[in-house]
Amino acid sequence: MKRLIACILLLVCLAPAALAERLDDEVLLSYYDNSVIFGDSITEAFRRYRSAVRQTDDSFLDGTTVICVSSISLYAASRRFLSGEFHFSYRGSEKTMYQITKEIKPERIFILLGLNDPVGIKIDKAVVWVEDIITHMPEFSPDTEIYFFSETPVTPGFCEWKGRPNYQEKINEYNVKLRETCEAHGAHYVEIAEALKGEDGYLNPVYSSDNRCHFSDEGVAVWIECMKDYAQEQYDLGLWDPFAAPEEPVASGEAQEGA
Amino acid sequence: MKKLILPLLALLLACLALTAAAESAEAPETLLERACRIAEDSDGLIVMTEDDLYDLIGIPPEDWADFAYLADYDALSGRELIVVRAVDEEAADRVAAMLTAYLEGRMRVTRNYLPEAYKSLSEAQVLREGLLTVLSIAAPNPEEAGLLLQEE
Repeated sequence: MKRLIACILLLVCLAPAALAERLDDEVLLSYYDNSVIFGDSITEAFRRYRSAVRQTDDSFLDGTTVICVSSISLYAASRRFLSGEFHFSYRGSEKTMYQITKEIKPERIFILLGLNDPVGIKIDKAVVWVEDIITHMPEFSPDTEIYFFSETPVTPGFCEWKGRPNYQEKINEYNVKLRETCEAHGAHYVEIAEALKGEDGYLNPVYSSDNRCHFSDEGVAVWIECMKDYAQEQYDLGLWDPFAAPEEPVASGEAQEGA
Repeated sequence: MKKLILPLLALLLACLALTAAAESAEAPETLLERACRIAEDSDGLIVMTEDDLYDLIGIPPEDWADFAYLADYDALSGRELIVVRAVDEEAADRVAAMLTAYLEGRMRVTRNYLPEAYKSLSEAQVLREGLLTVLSIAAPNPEEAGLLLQEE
């Protein structure tokens, strides 16, 4: 009897894992349809990688708009007016992240910014800027969900170049705060940093194109795998159903009939 | 029988040759084909889409009849080639203005950050011949833009 109960308990515990299905890559990446990714020079590599893949597979992330500009800071992006020297540009005009989001009205926006501030030495201020974005974005696009990628790791070479030997530790601290801030204010945190690190806790040199902070193809590929993992997690948690039929708009006549 | 077959074969071959010539005569070279032929490094460049042309540079589909937009895989190198044939003179004015603004924006971003790319950008110019406008940046052949315009 005891053995029977133990077997039943074991089956109950293992059944969900057995039933959990890994979705196809194409399905997972559809999570990022009708989305915008905002970033700086790190995201430039992502954009070019996507363009290169689309030479042979034009469906690859084709529902995702990538808007990035080198040197832009999280602070500048958090402002509701054009601030500082570097601005996002969309369709020929310099615009704030808010204006672009209002124009496109995406389902989701993903933000990877902070390297140019740099957030590691301004953690408390950076948290305020993140809160500003989460607070003000709904004024421009109330139905857009906000996601922050974790700040990506850097190499020891970057830390040395910047004269900040403990900068990677600071990034780690910032990411903890970033996650807390997202969770506290209804935004979402997407972890990509850990998968990019080597055993030493810095950016894996294989994933770096310049031995500092920018990504190689392999690095971008890891980033995209993390995005797929995140989409899978949302599916497993029942928070996203890629197979749900899209809701059809209700005609005004039908709405009145049921009233 | 041989006297019949040989002429028939000759006639068939002649028809095939004429058809091939007619097909090639009917299909003018696209700007993308021209750009890929003239750009010495085109094998290593990514073909960007009309969405990229609009989203990144601001040239809307209604302003162009044809275009080619090639960019280096390495986003930090600055290498790009953009060729646009506008639908009319007014559109060509807008295209030239957009490409100029794009070039200036790229220079602003790279000035203190990517000195080599900045140098290439500062040597680049937006050139126009009729409805055709070209922006060639960091080309292996400095005559690239001129060659593209010459064939218009």
